[in-house]
This record gives sequence, structure tokens and C-alpha cells, in this order.
Amino acid sequence: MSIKQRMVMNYFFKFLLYIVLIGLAVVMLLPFIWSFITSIRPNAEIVKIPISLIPSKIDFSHYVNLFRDMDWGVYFWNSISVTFVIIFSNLFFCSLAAYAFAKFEFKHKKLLLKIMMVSMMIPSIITLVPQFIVVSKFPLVGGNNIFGQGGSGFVDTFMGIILPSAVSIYGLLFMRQFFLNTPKEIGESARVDGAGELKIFFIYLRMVFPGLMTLGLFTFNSTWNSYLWPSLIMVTDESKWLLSIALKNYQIVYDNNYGPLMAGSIIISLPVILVFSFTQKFLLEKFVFDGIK
Amino acid sequence: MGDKVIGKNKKQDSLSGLLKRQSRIAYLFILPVIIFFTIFTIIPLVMSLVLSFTDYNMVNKMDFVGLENFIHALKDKYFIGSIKNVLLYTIMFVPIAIFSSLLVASLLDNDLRGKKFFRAIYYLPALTSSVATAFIWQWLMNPSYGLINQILNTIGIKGVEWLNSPKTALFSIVIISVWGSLGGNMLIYLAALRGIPSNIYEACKMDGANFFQKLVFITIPLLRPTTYFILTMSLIGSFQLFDIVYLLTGGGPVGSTTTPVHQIYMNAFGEFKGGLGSAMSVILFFIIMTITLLTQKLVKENY
Repeated sequence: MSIKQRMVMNYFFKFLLYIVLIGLAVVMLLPFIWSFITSIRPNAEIVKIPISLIPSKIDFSHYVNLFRDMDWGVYFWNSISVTFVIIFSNLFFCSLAAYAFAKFEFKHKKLLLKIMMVSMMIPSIITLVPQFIVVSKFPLVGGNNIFGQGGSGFVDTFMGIILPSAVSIYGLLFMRQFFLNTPKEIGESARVDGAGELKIFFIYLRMVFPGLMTLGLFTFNSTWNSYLWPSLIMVTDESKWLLSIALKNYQIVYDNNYGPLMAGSIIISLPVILVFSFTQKFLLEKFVFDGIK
Repeated sequence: MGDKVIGKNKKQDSLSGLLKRQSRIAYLFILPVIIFFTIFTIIPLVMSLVLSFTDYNMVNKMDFVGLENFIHALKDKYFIGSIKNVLLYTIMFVPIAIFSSLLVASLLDNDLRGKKFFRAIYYLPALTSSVATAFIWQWLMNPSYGLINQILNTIGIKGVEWLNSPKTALFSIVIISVWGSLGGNMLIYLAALRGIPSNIYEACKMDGANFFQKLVFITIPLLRPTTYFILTMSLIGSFQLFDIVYLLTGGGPVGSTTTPVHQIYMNAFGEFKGGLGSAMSVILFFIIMTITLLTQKLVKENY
């Protein structure tokens, strides 16, 4: 094969590659595009055969109806507050412990690490029922007595969602990798200069900022999207629903009314997509990989 | 650490004092995580074992019933059916998920324009909440008005019942899961591909290997640890399938998509049989452990 032929072949393969990649992108995006189109077209057009790809006119009435039927502003705010408290507590407590595991020597350190690693292999479902009991029978809260009887504990409170997710062993092990890669000398010299231990921790915390960002994004994604646990905790009090619970209940009450349902799906997806598109540069493949090693 | 004049003994004293102080601080720093971990993971784990031998009704009644829950669970045709479903699901989902993410990652691992753009788009489904995913796909897969069947009709293929028929419902769930998991696995593969030294590929190019030869003889063998990681995580994940099933089909039609976690959920929170639910989760735990260990053994023996 001559060089020219080879170059032609090369271009040909690149062209093919782009076709495949673009085709796949369309497949991956189509569900979003279609639900967006459904959410902004007139009701009569949604269940019309044959379907038309482009709406005859743009109609925001599904969004208007959605907000008229339910308190979405409240659910949005609830989701945001719960998510932020969980992100903050995960970042702070996991880093604090991760830093101690990376930089200090203490008794039973290896044993504790091993227990945590093993615990990550246990499927979370096994603790679902007893975790609910722990939360609902928590002593001295929600009308419970010291033995956890008589009241409802953390059920129907935001704490019931937040506390079980306040720290994660994954987050600890993930952050530990980053702290292990920081130099020991900085802490030592700061200590000689008389800096307090908490201050030294914050010096190191600044150095692992990319790790914090990545863990923050993962936590944001999983908390914002969680459904099972919040739906078990928020039973009666409608004003404390999160977006995911509200959307599911909307479907139960209004049946499969696809216009507003798609509008709701777009609303619930948008924040995560926006946050990720602005912070994509932090989500380098490297960090994903570092966390799992 | 002070004076250079201090004697050897004194120096050691201050060193052990420092270590003591350090370990006190370390315990203080790990304390919050340990407390949360104990209350919300360790205690529930122990409770789960205890509960599985009782007839706990999620409120107050709790008597020891021996192995009754386990016998009941293994005789329960819905629970056994759910295990069969999840096995079938795993056999379909795991190979497709691994192969597709590996293929996409190796396609993207070329010198391309807009690589980051494609990567972001493929990752988008992984960001989507399960509730939104469920509704969007329910609409796409609607047998009469859904986009997929409409497209199939246009090109002359008769529409499929998708989630509405016991024959196709589980497979429909597989499609949705692959769509949702492709991006995450792709990122892990891309990271691993970066770790392969480029001179291996250059040597390969010199020898005139094409894309598929490169994939089969270089990439796949070198990525074995990553594949093993994704395989294990996908297996564990598959056996815990719940959200999408609960939201989309509620286990139906005629129990064709119910999963063990769905059965645990229904028994514990629907019928308040906390003991039975715990016994089922213990059984599921042993199934997952066995399968994970078997895969581990298989992988180790073969390589």
C-alpha cells in the first residue's frame, strides 16, 4: 500500500469512527430530547398517530400545570437542602478521618481499615430493614423514650434521610488516596512552627481540592437521585417530600399523563446536568480511577 | 522538637509523648465517621442477622422463631421467581454492559476532536435520577404511542410490547440499565486505557495491526484487572436491582420482573414482615457472596 492509499484509508476509518460516535450520541441523548419535546408540545399532539417529530407550537402549559398541581418549589428546596447538608458532612467528616488514616499512626489502624474495606463489599440491601428500625426507634427523638418506644424517631424528618448518609466509607477510602499523595514534610514543619492540628488539617485539605470536588460531585449525584430510602422515611408529611418522591407520587395521583411527567423529569434532571457541565474539568478520569484502587 | 542538648532517653520520651498525642488526635479525627459507621452500618448488620430468626412485625412484636423465615423464604414462589429473574437479568446485562463500555472506551481512546464532548454525552444517562429514567423510558417504550415502536412501524417492523409483556419486560429493563450504566463503566475503562504505555500501541501500529487486532490482542488482555473490577461491581449491582423495577413495572407483568430486593421491600415495608424480609436479605447476601467468590476463583484459575 502506498502512503497516499494509507492516508485515504486512515481518513476513511476516521470518518466511520465519527459516524459511529455520533450515532451513539444520538441514541444516548434521544430519551432526553424526546422527553423535552413531549414536555413542550400541546397535549393533543402527544398521543397522536403517526407521531410528528417537531411540535407544531411550543406550549409550556405542562410546566404550568405541574406547578399548579403540586408545590414543586418546596420539593426543590427540600432536595437542595438535604443534598447540601449530606455533601458538606461527607466532605468534612470523610476528609477528617481520611487525613488521620493517611498521616497518623495509631493502634488498630490496619484493623479498622480492613473492616471498612470488607464492609464496602456487603450489599447495602442487607441493612435496609434494620436501618429503618434504627432510624424509627432512635432513643429520645420524635417522641421516643430512652428505649426507642412510643414515637416515630427520625421518620418524617429530614434527619432521617441525612443521618444514614452523613458519612460514607467509600468517601473515606477515596479521600485517603489523595492524602497519601501529599508530602509529609509540610505538616511536620507547620507543627514545629506551632500550628494547631486542625489548622494543619486545613492546610492539607487545600492540597486535595480536586479530590474534594470529585467526591462532592459523586455525592451530589447519588443524593439528588436517591429514591428508595427517602420514600421510606417521608411517609405522611407532604411538605417534606423530595423531588424524586414528589414525581413518583404525581404519577400515582395523575396517572400516566406524559406531558407533565416529562416536564417533571426534565426539572429533576436539569440541576445535575448543569452542575456537571460546569465542573466537568474536575471529573478527570484519573480521579475516578484513583478512587477505586 | 526542641533542644539539641537533650539526652537520648529524654528524646525517646518526647517522641513517645508525641506519638501518644498524635494517636489521640487521630482517634478524635476518626471518631465522627466511626460513630456513624457503627450506628448505621455495623449495628444494622448485626440486627439483620438477629431479626432473620424472629417474627418481627416492624412495630413491636418480636419472638424467636428459629429457621422458620428461611424455610418460608425458600418455599416462597415469588422469592424463588425473583432469584430466577435476577439471574436471567445478570446473564443478559453484565456481558452487554462490559462489552459495550469497553468498545466505546476504546473507540474514544483515539486521537479525536470533540473527545470530551462525546465523553460528556455518554456519561449523561448515568447522572439521571432513577425516577426520571423510569418515566422517560416508560414513555419511549409505550406500545401504542411510544417513540421506539413508532420508529419500528415506520421501517416496517411490528411494534414490541416492551414492558407490558412478560416475554419482553425483563429484556426492556436490561436495555434501560445498559443505557444508564454505559457512561460510568466507560470512564473507568478510559482511565485504565490511559495507563497503557503508548509505545505498545506504536509497536503494534508498526506491525500493521488493525483496530480489532489491537483490541483483542493488546487492549483486552492489558485491561483484565479493570474488567474484573467492573465485572464484580456489575454482578453485585445486578443482584440488587430495585429502583427501576419498582418504578417501572412494580415487578410485573405476572412477576416477570420482580427482584429479590423488590420482594424484601414488599415483605418488610408492604406486609410488615420484618423477620422474613431480613431472612431474604441474608439469603441474597449469601448468593451474592458465593457468586463473587466463584468469579474470583474462576478468574484466578484461568489467568
